[in-house]
Amino acid sequence: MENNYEAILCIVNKGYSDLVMEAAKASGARGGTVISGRGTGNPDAEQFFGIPVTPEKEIVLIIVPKDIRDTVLSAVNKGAGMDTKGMGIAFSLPLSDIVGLPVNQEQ
Amino acid sequence: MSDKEFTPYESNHRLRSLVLTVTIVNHGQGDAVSSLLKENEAYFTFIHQGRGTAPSEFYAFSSSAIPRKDVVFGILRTDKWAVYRSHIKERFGVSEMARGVAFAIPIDAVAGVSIYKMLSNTRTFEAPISKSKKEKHHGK
Repeated sequence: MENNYEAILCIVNKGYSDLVMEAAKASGARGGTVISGRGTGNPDAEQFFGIPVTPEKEIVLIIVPKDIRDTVLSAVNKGAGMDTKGMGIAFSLPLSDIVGLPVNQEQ
Repeated sequence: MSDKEFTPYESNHRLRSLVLTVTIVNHGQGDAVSSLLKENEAYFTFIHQGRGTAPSEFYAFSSSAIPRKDVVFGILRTDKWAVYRSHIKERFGVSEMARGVAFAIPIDAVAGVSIYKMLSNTRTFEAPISKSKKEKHHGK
């Protein structure tokens, strides 16, 4: 099984998934799906404030053709990476197969 | 400690590769997708709520105001993915509401034989492949 798509995942602070999608769409991505999550890092912050801090996160999942993967990753890193308020971490995963994309996107 | 020599499971058993399947469908369709995965021997499925990021104009013209999605995770053997793929493709074509995207991410490693057996749904005891059969299997 071989296909020309990869999944880009970007974990950002809650409320900043728009930054990710703006950057990704500007680089040729079509759309994505956002799911909510909770980070587990930074125990020092919890100790400092004396109350458990729940670092809420959003995970943005974007399917892109392999040939624009690097461009999209780079744009996402620039628009929503660690130097921004989104503090996003983006990475890609290879897909062994995919089904259900619009016909014009499967070309 | 036993004096018996340790033999890695993969050295005398046929391993079946696994994939993590992710299926993104409209909200409310997740249970049906989950059932389909279980029909194809997924040991477990996990439905997570999500939302789409299509342009807001798209939703202005559609009946749903909130682009809510069900993201269904499951682990399948690669041979079962092919079957699931055809079933889910058929389902996506039923109506506009049933449309979605499904993809498979290959799994490289799992933490232990028992986990592998659970995820691959190898319930029955599988006798180790004898050396002669193994050599034949590998074309030696």
